[in-house]
Amino acid sequence: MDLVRRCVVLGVLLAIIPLCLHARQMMFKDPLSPRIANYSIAVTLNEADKTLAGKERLTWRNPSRDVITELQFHLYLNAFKNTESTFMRESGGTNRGFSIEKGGWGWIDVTSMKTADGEDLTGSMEFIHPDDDNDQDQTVMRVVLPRPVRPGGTIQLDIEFMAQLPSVFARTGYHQDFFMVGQWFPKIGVYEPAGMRTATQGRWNCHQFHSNTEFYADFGVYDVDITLPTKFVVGATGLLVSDIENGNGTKTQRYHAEDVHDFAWTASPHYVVADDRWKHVAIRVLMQPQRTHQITRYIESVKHALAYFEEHVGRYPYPIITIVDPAHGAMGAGGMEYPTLITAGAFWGIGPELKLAELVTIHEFGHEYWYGLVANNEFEEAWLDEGINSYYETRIMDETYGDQRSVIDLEGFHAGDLDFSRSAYVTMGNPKVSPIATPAWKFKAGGYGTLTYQKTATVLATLERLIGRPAMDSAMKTYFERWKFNHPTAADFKAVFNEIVPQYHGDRFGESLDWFFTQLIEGTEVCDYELTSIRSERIEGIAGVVNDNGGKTTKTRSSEHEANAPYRSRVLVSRLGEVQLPVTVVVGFEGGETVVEAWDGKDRWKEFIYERPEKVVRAAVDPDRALVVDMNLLNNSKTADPESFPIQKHFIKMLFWIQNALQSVALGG
Amino acid sequence: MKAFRAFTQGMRQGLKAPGLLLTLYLFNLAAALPVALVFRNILKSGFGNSMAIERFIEGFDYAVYQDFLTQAGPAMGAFGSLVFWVLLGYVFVSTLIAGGVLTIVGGESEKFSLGTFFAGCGRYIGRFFRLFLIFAALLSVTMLVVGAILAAIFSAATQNATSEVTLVVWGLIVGSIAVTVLGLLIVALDFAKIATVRLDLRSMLKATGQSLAFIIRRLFSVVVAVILVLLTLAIGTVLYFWAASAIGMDSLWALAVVFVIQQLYVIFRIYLRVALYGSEWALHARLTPSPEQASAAPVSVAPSEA
Repeated sequence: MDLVRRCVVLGVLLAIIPLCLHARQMMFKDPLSPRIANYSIAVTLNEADKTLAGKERLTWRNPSRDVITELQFHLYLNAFKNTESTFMRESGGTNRGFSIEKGGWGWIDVTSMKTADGEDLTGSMEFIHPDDDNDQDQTVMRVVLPRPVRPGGTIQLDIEFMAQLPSVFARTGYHQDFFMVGQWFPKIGVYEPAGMRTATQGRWNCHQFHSNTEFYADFGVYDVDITLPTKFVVGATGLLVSDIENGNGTKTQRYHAEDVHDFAWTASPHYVVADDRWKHVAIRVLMQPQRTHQITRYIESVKHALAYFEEHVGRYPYPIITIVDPAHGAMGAGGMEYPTLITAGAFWGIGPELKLAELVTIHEFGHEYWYGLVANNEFEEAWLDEGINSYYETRIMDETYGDQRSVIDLEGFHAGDLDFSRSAYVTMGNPKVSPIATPAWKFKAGGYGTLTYQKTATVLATLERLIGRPAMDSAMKTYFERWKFNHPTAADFKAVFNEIVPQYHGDRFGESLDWFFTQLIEGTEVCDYELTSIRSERIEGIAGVVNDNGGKTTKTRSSEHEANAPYRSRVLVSRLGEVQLPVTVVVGFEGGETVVEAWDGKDRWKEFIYERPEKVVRAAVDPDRALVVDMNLLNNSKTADPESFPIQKHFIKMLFWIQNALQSVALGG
Repeated sequence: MKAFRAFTQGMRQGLKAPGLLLTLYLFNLAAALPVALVFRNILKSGFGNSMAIERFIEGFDYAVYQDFLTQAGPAMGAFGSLVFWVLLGYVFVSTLIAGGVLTIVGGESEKFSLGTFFAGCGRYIGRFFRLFLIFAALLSVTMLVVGAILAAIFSAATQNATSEVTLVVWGLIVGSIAVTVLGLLIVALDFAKIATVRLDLRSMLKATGQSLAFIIRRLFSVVVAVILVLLTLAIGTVLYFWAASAIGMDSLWALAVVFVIQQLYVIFRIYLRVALYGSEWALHARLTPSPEQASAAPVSVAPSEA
């Protein structure tokens, strides 16, 4: 081989090697997760029929010491197959405010399942319904294995499937030529060995798809080839590692993701792509053309979230985050989280006075932590992801865009994210309808959304104010670091707080914070403290008949004494709700002096008595609103002389608006 | 330029009757004040001696606002009903006093007297009540029909929309059409009343027919005259908001000043209502001479003239 040829070969090799490495691109040098469920999928989108034809190779490792004789799979798309699925029975065909379109059913059929050595398991597949007795539900499937999987052993299955996407509903489906493809492939459940989470013996955790539930899966590596017409712009979980034109009007894009527990993708010919970067994270926005002027809102809000989470929780490990702006008419696909890909939601013409695009972006990005990385079971303990995430959403929104004005700030009417969370909870028809700690599909009497999202955010905001931001952040950082790429439970969450908080406060809150969680997470009672009364009277000395040297004397008061007598003031605070929390009481005296009192909040009432030259003119229980869960802020304070100015102001305003309304309707008279 | 002349004539007419404006203002205040006082009492009983109300001295507090709505929910519900019924009643009362207003606006005498006003009210009360019922029915039927047509148009136009911009644009289009139809019917009611007073019509069906025909024939003039009044209202409204926001409502003095400005604005709106009647009267008189005028000096106006 002459030098020229050697140089050519060397050049070609140098050119190919990076490509090969690229094709087998690794996100992480070392695995970050146990990588139990690994998928290699080739899927083809039929644009006309809105169907997917897929071939999936699943490599599953038995993480237990048990011998596994059967596997269980989620077939989520079958939730949209007909009116008799558990999802449809529970939801009545409506989810998150959107209804399933007539004729827009979706389903998935597993057409073939074989072991890697060709053994056909198709005949042993059967639908099961572990949560209810609905034999019409086909969202969970069991396969009996001809040979068991030994402890630590691995099984490879080749699965072929055909899926009909629904008209966009409950996060997934199509609308015209927009596709949001989530929960679309046969997905293995989680095998929980004894000791894992709440398992006392080995078990499959593979719940049916319910109206209120989301997901639970093991981490793994995904390689997904998506074949579709070349006109489509695609976004997906993970990194795009190859993009090949097939020459028949289609292209195949390969995406690779590591240490994730789900894979979703989207396609539309209309997406406008915007790329940006925050530190090590590439930010990609797939925007609808009519909303391109709002791209910066998505990018800036996700950057705020990235920075906030890195500072207060931990590092975002993935190299990319993709934000999908759903098409008009496909908002049922909006506001959803998948690993490294979130769907948001904007609306043409809505200005920055209403920060819904920011709110949904920050919320969904937060799920990269609370769901994506810390992967609790969303079926059974939804508050661990939705609730914690809503708490962080309120923090980021209010700290970034302004306390009490972060969501809406329009002509004097303003409200912050925590305001909305609290209000949603305290204005519930029945805030005692269920504990937060209720499996998502068991909120039969309602309240799933408000209790899981908003009440939890409110409870955690209260906890933060109780233990202080440093202790809160430290506990949450510990929880994140300890449980990322794992499946924690509520007990694990509480254990971290019981470990960390004493490091900051000793035994100030007792041996543990269980009393807090028991009342507010596992209980249904409400918190309501009241400043019941203020009374101030002169200490005028005794008047009347008193015993004096064996006899009786009648005493009277002098007016001079009366004028100079000090006051005995009584401030009565009461606990109207059953929830007991330590609380501060501030008492204000004539002349402006204030006294701060601490009350453990346990008794039904407590009276504070003062004997001073000045009388009490005002008092407030929880003046700083540390108890965000308090049901009624109006009864938290009292003043001896009520402030009439605001009442006059609003009276005058109301008078004016009524006069104008009258004058307007007078046009018709 | 008949519309412009009618507009200026109406504006002058409104200024000529301060007594009328005062009377109508007092009507307005008398209806609004009890409702506002009810609201004040709800505020007082809702907040009691709570310091929470202090959050509203210089600003707004959503949490307190929501808690107030929760605590005062039943009272606020009743208040909402009260407002609805008072507004409905005021439409009716406005109909009944329209006779007095038009007697003054269209009268030769430049002096306002309560006697003339109430005599006018009394004279036309029965006819205007019938007119009110006819227009209520006409309005309902028209809005139902127009609403159904517009809804069908909106649905067809946006069914396959790929962008919400389409919805917004079509929403504005059908909304504008609905508002225009509604506005024209309200103006037609005005002209029916004017025709009744000017021509002493007894049949309100005839008055309705004449007014609708008038509107259709003189659409341009009518619309221009109304738009001129609306533009004046818009200017006044902008000035009000500018003044109110510049002063603020953060102190007792500021509150007093804003209150005065608010009442002046209400009087301004009442004045514009009278001016609108005056403009419409002038237009009607110019384009539909009374039989006496017609026999004295026939007027012929080309439809295209405005």
